[in-house]
Amino acid sequence: MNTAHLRLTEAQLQLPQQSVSLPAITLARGEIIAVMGPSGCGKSSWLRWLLGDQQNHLQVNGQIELAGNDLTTKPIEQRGIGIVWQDFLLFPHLSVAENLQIALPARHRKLSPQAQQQLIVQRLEHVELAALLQQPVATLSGGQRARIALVRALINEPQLLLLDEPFAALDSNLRQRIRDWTFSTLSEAGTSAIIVSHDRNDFPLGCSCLAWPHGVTND
Amino acid sequence: MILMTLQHHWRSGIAVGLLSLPWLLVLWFGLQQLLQAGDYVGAWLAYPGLLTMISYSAGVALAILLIAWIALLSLQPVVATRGWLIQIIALPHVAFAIGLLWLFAPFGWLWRLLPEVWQFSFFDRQQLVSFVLILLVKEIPFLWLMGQRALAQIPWQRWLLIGQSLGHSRQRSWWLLVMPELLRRLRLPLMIVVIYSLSVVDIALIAAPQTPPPLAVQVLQWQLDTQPYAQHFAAYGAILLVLLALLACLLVILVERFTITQLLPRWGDFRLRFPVTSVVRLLGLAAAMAMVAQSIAIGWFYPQLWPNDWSFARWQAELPSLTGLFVQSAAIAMLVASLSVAWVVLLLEWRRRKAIPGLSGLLLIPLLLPQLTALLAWQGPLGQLTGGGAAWVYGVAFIAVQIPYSAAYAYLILAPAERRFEQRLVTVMQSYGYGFWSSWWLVKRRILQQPLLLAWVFAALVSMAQYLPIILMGGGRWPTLTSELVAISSGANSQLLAIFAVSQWLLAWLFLVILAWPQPTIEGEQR
Repeated sequence: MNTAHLRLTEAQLQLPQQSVSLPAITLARGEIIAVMGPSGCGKSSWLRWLLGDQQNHLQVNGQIELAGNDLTTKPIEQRGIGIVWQDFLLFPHLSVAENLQIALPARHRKLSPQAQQQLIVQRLEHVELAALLQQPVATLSGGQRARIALVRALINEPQLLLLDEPFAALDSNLRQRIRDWTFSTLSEAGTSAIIVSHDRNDFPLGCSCLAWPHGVTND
Repeated sequence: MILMTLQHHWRSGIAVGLLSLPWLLVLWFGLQQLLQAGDYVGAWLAYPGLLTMISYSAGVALAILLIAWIALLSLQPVVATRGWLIQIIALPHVAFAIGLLWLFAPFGWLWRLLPEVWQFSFFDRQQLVSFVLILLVKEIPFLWLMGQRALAQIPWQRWLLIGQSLGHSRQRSWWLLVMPELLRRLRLPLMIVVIYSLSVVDIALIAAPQTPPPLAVQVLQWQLDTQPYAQHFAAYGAILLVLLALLACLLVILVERFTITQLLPRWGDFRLRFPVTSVVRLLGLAAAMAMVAQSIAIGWFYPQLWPNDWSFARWQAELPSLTGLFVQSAAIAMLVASLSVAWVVLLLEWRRRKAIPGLSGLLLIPLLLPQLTALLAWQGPLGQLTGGGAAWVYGVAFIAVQIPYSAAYAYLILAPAERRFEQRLVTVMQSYGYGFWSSWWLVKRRILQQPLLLAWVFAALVSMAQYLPIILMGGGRWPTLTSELVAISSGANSQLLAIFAVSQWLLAWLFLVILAWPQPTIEGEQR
């Protein structure tokens, strides 16, 4: 029986300055894989390709299969892949509640505003962040932003979550706490994730680790 | 990699080609028609007053360039004046010209205040000085607004700190580090202003000498003339305007180079003070007051300082015809503005996706080509399509030729804000299952609401002030406040003129009110 949740074929990344070969990758449901490599070697471009974001400077010839569906040519909105970036990218014109409300999955968008609000409150209470509900995002601290960004990504119930250096913007004290919180939250949600970082300490214990660049060839 | 780069540029080239094709085709066919006019060169060169017309146009452009340049050099680092700048820019050129002339011209309001010994004709209706002054007061605020936007895009405070830390005074650091960059960024707006002054017709008809007139006015008169030679003369004149515009662009670059390499390094602590803000604000306000007063004055004869009476009777009498024109002008401006902003948004998104080089240049072509020449070039092929057609056919043609102009200004306003926008916010929304345009609407439109609105208002104001498209493309079937205002400006009824000018001004104000609409606040973010 095939238990792979995510299946990536061998791929060739063509970046402006180099081409990178990637091995085939499989990921079980709820599993986390870490990708480690120096800055500027194409990790983030690869994540954006997985997400479905077209980039003019990048060509990739691999295939993506998630939960049995071939996503390679599908647009971002049909992939079911979420992302958390290093700078969190909360919507600055919305409050915390509105940031979460806009990320509700399609089936919940049909609910009444009260029911949606209740869902959001429940989710925030679960991670002890309910006090932030009506706060404008510009007033949040770095740690609060990091946690709201993860909650926002998870409330959308993605099949796969991409984390692009999610702890890089945090100071070292906060970093450890947010890291532990992130991995326990991911584990509780049973969400598969790919985390990219140049710091080995950012990865959860015991997860598979892909060292990048793998088979790099320079033009 | 080389293959990929080539492929990428090839795609971009195709995209730019497709985008510019309609423009270039129409321009090409039109210019060909213009250039075919080959038998009348001698007669044209011998046309009475041709050299005077050319010298008027060139002189006005040169004066505008030099004074605008001084105004730019006196741009101050701290200017919290966007509101009044926009108000002056919004004041329609024609209405403003009429107000200012009534104020300053001999026997005008201010003239009557002066003691008799001072009443000499330094400013008159239909004098080059009046023409230049009106253009300057209208165009300097535009340049200042562009200057502010350019300043907002460079970290000039840090540059000044670096300069000071290297031992230069703050003022010297301003001249050496900030001003050269600012001047480079303002090259294009300055070219736009100078080219506009070369080819403007509506204000020239009201404020410039008419015997002979500046070249652009004469070209229009030739074009509207039914004599067989006249169309050819118009063609030569239109091409000459393009050559003058090219020369003006070259001059802008030369003045910029000279200033940066020769003047700024020697200025040290010299401070250039040019009271642009106060002079422009005062003149704008005075012109507006003069218009309003004139529109409700009864029996205001020289040398009375005040009229015999005030009355709205003439307003009431004109209201039925005025309302129709007002609504038609507003509807056309709103339609053109909406289409222009939509066009700019589409192009900007396309540029982001395909990384198309040279898109900006393409959108700004209309502002770098004398409008009269472009319209004469378009008139050929478009005239064949619209000739003898229904009113709506003319409507479509004259709205279509307005869009490039409104879109160019909308682009100037919107592009810097769009460039700073974090596009990944849209990608995040897409990752939640929203389509691209839904994501754009929910996130980007809301964050860029203010620049989008400003771009829309500018596009509407540009459309509202258009004169040549109505005359050359509208087939006389789509009159607006502007075209009627220019038409009645040659008559002697100053109250009627003032009523139309105030109406045009009111319409511009209505558009400005949209900017005062409560905006979504982004706390902690710099607006």
